[in-house]
This record gives sequence, C-alpha cells and structure tokens, in this order.
Amino acid sequence: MSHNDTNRQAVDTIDNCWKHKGVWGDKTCPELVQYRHCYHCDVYSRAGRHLFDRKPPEDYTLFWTRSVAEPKEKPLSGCMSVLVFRIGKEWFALKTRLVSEVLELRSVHSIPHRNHSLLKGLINVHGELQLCVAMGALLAVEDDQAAEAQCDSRVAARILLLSADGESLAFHVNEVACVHSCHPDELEPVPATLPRKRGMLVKGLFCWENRQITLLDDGVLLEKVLEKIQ
Amino acid sequence: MLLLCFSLGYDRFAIDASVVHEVVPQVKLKDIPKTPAWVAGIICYHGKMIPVLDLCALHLSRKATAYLSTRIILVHYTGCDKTEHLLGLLAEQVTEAIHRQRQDFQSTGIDTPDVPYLGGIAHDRAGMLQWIDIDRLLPESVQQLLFRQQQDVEQ
Repeated sequence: MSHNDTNRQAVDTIDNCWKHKGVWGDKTCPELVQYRHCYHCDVYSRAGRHLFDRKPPEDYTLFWTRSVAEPKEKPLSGCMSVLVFRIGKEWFALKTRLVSEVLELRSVHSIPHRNHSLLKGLINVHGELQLCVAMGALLAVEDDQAAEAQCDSRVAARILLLSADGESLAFHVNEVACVHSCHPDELEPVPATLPRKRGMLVKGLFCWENRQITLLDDGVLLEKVLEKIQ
Repeated sequence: MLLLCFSLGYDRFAIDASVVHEVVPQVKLKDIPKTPAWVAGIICYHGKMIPVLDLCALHLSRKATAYLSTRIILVHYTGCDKTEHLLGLLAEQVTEAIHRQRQDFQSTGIDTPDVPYLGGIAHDRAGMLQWIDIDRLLPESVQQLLFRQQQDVEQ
C-alpha cells in the first residue's frame, strides 16, 4: 500500500464522535465537562483539519502559482484607517483608533434634571457608565425612524464608543459598514453649502462604494460635544 | 511561544513561528536538475526566486503527497554566511499553530548525527511532537549550492 492510500484511509476513518456522544448526540462524552461544546475540543478541530487532506481542485495549483508569482502591491504610505458608519441617511467616517468599541444596543438611562437635546443619558459599558449623546442632532442629520424601519432587516443599529485623552463618549448609529483605508490625498474639501454647524466638524469627503462619505474631524468633534453638554 | 506544526508521514513536527515569513499553497515549482531529490525546485514568490526543499523527501525519502494541506512554509533562514535568506519548506498537514514552551520539548537522549535538525519531543493529546531546528537543516555544502544560485540571479 502506498503512502497516499494510507493517508486516504486515515481520512475516511474519522470517528465522528460529536454525533454519537457529543453535543449532536446523547451528550455523554466525559470531555464535555471540560470543553462544554464540541467546538472547543481538539478531537473536533483535528477532524476539521483533516478535510484538507484531499487532492486540490483542478485549477487550484495554477491559480496559486500565478497569484504567488505576481509582484506585491505596495500599500500607499500615509494611509489612515477609518470606520465607516451611517446616521439616518448619511454616511460618516471616523479614525479607527478613536473608536474603542462597537457595541450592541442597550438601554440609555436618562439623567434627572438634565434635559439636554444633545445628551441622551448614560449607558453601561462593561460596568462603567459612559455618556451617550445624540450625534445626529449635533451633525444636523434627520433621524428618520420610519424610513429606517423599512430598511433591510439584516442591517443592525449599533452604539459606537469613542475614547481619546481619557475622555469617552458613546452615540447611536444606524449601521456600521466597515473599516476602510483612506489616503489623505483622496479627501475632497468641505463644500461651502454644508450647514455651518456641521462644516466645522468635517475634515473632508471621500468616495466609498459610490457613496459620499463625510470624514469627521476627531479632535474638534470630541471637544465640541464635551463643551456643549457641560 | 507560538509554533507552526506540520506532519511528515505519520509524525508531527514543530518549528518556531517567529522565523516563518508566510505559508503558501503548494504551487508549481521550477525543477532544478542534478540536485538532491529533496530539493523540490524554485518558487517564484512575488518576483523573487526562492529554493524550496521537500522535507518529506529529506526525512522519509518520498515526495510530499499533493494534498490541500501540503503547503510551502517560507522561512527566514540564516546560513553559515550570516546573511538571511528566504527558504521554502514543503511539508504535509501544515494546518495548525499552537502555543508551547521551549522547555516542554524533552531531549530524546539518542544521538542523531545524520539528522542534526531534530530536537526534543513534547507530548499532547494528539500524540508526540518533535522540534525541528531550521538553522541546522542544511549542511554547509548544500547552503552554498542553494544560495549561490540565488545570489547569481540577484546579480
């Protein structure tokens, strides 16, 4: 028997114990006490890795030979990483390093005797209370709830938590799209027609997937918000 | 430390992941005539020509099986000329990276002058795992053969 045959045999004789005594079986496997789910057990992951012990598809070698031989594209120097998100109908971006976390929606606790249009209240993030502001109001974006309800149900609203210089700030967004790499040369200047209120907070505009994205000036943004709610 | 694991036949081996540059699929290699059987050929890696050794051929005297899990590990190899070269190592079941300490690998107590690259052995649930010392993989004569070609190409 050649080595190939013995290897093949090893693949064919995988014991799918997760279907007999694991979580998809009668759950009697003693390892479940330690691992809780077959996903965490190395018997399961080892069996998964054995799926690679098979002949590659026909064009696989040719595709990779070409791909590996191609010269590497040098990344543009000076690119910055920005997080792209949506408030209402408008798309914005902020430097990724300013965003410390993207959170699931949670309840906002209003602060008694502080009835501020910008300050929504406090939210609980890992046991710490953080200020939650209405960014839509600050940026003069219409927050059309009815239109939002008609939107794709797969789109999830989130809360972004920003942190810089020991100050933290959270706000609601309707959608978080991606982390995008943006070069300063791509940025277009702020159009004069933009409401003055927002113009001060904007660093520039860039195009992403045929959409106009407004890059917010992180320094000014935090400063303005904190100034207004105090 | 992080280790990259692979198999040669039925046995599992590990190398220090910090010397690994990239793991690429088994691609078509340019054959070099009149070299030892374990010199698998030359890979064109983003325009650079890099020699690839078949660890299965070196260790077991048979070629690596052409499976999806058989991959080329590109390592930074510092030879006896004290300069760093990229070297490709063809090995089977290159599918796992694990965290283990260097001292987990116990000496075998068997002197193996013919295979100086073999190190200590550690044990885990999947069986025994033997350390491979990349720097001791190639005898000096073979280093000269492989890397002189590389230098000639660069000049």
